[in-house]
Amino acid sequence: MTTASPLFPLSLPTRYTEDPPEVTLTSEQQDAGARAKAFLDEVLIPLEQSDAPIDVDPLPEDTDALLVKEARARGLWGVATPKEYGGQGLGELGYVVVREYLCQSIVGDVRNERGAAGDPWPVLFSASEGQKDKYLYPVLRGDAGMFFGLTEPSGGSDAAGILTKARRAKGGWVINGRKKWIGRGGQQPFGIVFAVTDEDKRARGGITAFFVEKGTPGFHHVRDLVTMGAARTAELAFEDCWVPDDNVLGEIGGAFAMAQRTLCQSRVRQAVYNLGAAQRAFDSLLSWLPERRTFGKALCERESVRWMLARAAVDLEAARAMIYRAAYLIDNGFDPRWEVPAMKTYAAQMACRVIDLAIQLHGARGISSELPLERLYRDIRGFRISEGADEVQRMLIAREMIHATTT
Amino acid sequence: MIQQSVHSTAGDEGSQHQMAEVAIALSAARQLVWRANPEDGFAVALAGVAARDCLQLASAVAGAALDEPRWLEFQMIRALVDHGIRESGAGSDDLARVAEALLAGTSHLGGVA
Repeated sequence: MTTASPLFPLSLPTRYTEDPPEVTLTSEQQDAGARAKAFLDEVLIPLEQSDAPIDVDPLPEDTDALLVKEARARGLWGVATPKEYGGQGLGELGYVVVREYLCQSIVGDVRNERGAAGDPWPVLFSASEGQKDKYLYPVLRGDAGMFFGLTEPSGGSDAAGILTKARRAKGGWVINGRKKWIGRGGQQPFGIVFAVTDEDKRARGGITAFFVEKGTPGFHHVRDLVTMGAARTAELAFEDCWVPDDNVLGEIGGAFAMAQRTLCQSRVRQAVYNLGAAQRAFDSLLSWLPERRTFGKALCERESVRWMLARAAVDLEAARAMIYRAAYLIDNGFDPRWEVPAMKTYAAQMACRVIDLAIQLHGARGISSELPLERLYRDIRGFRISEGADEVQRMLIAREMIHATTT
Repeated sequence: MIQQSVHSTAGDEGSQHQMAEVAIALSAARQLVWRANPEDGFAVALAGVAARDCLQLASAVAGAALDEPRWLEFQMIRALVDHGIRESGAGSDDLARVAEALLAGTSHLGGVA
């Protein structure tokens, strides 16, 4: 149902039946933010400046173990995970507050399961009790990671058009197809694989999710794929890969809706990576401008440069506000159908603009490994493509706007 | 106005994408306007820059998306807003104000810690 907001009658249309509350942080969320900043300053930045090999994914075991240990000790493990599962129970907004700091470091988070995370893909909470013992709890403990097998060689943003199929077989299902660009797909001990189980229904009840473990006959890690950033992705093949009925996640045919809910949350989580990276670049720029002199003047004395700085500041703050609001809407049970696509698109483009500006004004240093800027740019550029490209997000926004006009 | 116009030509994908771009810019600006304390000059300046950028984008899109009568109506609204901005002396001064506060360290971006 579409309603005009009584409080904000000029707002863009939504399907909400009541006005969302204003974003406010709890004292626990603020405290977690302070702990995250200390973690950044005391552990992550010094690690960047050490001789440890950090431009790799996964990180070396001892480095990964150090991050996990420190994150646990500082109450930064499983920030969004509900308390009944041993997490901090700070919701998506708490996650955003914490990750805003951690993602300022190039070792803060490249993948969701990385050291300082402890928050699994939200889809895992849809598992049955038996599946939780087998898959969810090891991830929460930090003993295992998982991959999310949705994207295929034929495309990713059009998730309803996947080609991988699963058909019933004795006591289970047989999966055939390929997945591509799957984050750490070749390294994780298990993952969730989406497949068509009813060709006629597809997105409307015809796609099912399955747990598939490494080593299952017919499941092949074809190759790792190199991308701009450090994150490692993989191509996976399923050739008559049999899995038992117990490996079905959620309802048979109900996986598309489940994937959409998970992607809504993970797009916020991805956006905060952009925010952290851009903030780091901005801070670097802010300290560089008074230092660097050209033609007898510091860069910060040049009006054109000051305007660039101001525009970057507006960009950052707008993205921050949109991300906080999207997270808060999710925490409060709203379905932010256009707010999340708008936030995701804006944050991803903002980070590209801000980091690119920082690189530009740092001159040759900006593109060198003396500074983290080039690595930050390499890590975030993919976010304009993954989990729904900018262009697809615009389609989603337009669809909601047109829906609102017609109802 | 853009939304209504695009609805009437719903099959035009280019217009839909332009409308989405305006919606994103509007959403970004609105967030900054909503949370700006009127007594906080830095926050008001940030919001002012975002709002004007949004208006500029909307104006560009309106040129292609709106028919003549509605485009003229939009331009009249825009002229009134521009006049208000000039009268208030804000304009590009907001950019200078933001940069000055950041470089002087009297204002900072976001963060809770």
